[in-house]
Amino acid sequence: MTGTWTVFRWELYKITRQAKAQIVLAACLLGPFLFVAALNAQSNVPQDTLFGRWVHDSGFAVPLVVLGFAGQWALPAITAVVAGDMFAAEDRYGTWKTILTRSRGRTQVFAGKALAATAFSVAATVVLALASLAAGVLLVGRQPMVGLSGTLLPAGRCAALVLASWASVLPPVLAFTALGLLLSVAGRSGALGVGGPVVVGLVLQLVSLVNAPVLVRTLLPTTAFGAWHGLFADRPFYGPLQQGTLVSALYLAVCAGAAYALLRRRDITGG
Amino acid sequence: MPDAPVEASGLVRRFGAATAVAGVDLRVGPGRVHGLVGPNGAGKTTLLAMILGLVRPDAGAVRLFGRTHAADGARALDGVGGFVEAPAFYPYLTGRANLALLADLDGGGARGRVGAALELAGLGAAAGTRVGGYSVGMRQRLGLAAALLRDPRLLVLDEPTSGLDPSGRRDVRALVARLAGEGVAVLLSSHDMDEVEDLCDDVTIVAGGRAVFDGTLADLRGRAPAPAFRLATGDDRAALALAADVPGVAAEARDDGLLVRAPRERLDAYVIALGRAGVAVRALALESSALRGAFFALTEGADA
Repeated sequence: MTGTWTVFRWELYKITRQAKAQIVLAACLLGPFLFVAALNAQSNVPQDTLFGRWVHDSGFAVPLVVLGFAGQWALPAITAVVAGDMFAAEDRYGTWKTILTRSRGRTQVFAGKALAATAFSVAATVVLALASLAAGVLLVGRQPMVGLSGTLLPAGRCAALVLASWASVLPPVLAFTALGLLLSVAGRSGALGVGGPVVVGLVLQLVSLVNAPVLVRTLLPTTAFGAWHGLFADRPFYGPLQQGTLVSALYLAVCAGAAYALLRRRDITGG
Repeated sequence: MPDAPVEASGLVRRFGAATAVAGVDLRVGPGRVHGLVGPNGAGKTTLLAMILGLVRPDAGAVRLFGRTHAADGARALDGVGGFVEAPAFYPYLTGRANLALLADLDGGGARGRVGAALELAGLGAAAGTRVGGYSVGMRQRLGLAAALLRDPRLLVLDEPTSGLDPSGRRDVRALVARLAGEGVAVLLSSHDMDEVEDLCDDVTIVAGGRAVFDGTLADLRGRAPAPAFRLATGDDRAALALAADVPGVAAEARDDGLLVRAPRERLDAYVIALGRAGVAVRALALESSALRGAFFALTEGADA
């Protein structure tokens, strides 16, 4: 555990020293404020998005609109920026042979790196969630919001539901993080690791839009990004959340397991 | 009897249809400097990578102080420091941060040795500079510092003087000699036969994935042909004729003078004979040392 913790700590340090991670976190922090400023500058609202019509009436609609957009491609992209390059960067810099000839085994190196990528994904999601909520509350207001059943939800309940909704996307976020890690190990290319999850996310969104069978849609990790909708009904339904969490856990286990197996058995030649 | 720093037997490694290493045995004794020499593509780097556990052999076994990678995992490298190919680091971190990272991966007291290792490698002044701004030679020095952090009893160095200027090469050679004097075993891959001659006690020459020589430097010298010298004279035709009269001297005409093969004492006799015959010697330079001659003789044609 000490070895894994050491690797984890240094990977976090390395992440904070890289411009791409700083840019992503800054975008997560400032993006929602720019988004609300742009919305406030126009009378149109994103009506085709759930809660989009309320963005001028309640600040709590803002984080939900952002969550709707983010689930389509932004969250896979945000997580992949670090996870997709976590292992490929060692190939690019040729540093595998530097770190694998020290006193830590491949299991510890893998675990430390995977945990660091996970920590970044969770941190970026949390920053985006809190920034969206803050942007909505500060720039629009704390007005009550109409729920999916047509009843008015008080501000306190709205805030709790917004946070719960954002928390509900953590399982698919982690599934996409694991996909990024797998592509990073298998492809040994940051471009594949970073771009792959984004493309996969978009393709799967497309599959769910073209009337795919229910079973197929249920088994897509992207479906879990919309599972929070049920929280806003008068009688909340949690089935999609449970299914989404299970499906995400499955993707996470398969992708992380495959990535670990590949790293364990690969020869370090050149990198 | 203590376990040898390196005991490798029957190492085989194939990459697809190509056989990079085809059954090599290698033993490095305590306090010995062992040269691993061979032309490009001979299998040296793959051999070193197998020794350091970066590449798994298809057959054969590696023991480092009696430990194996399969049974002992990362602990197999306890007491082992070094690098394969050019040392590589994170370019966006400083030299000191790179070493601190590696020291933490090593654990123990390595973190406390970072400053001393940087000073020893001559990088004290550049420790706070990002590695992305380092020259090839500075990275090479940082690689040595990273190896020394582990307080090694075995150093595995892949062409450690590559990219260094003459003073850097001199420093590294002195450092290797000093460490060997303190009992550290060194396995050193090199292209430079002069370096091997300066530093090594034992030599393994590989070609085409096989060991074509394995023995002491003295053994290799014993098998070496006479060294070759470039000779320019006032009258090359007369010098060529005179060479035929001096036993142990073979000369041939070239565009820029003569190529003379002779042991040093026979060469001395030849040069004296040239002087006595009134043939002026304008230039005399070593073309190929005895060891280099042995290297070429052993490796040429071995790839086939």
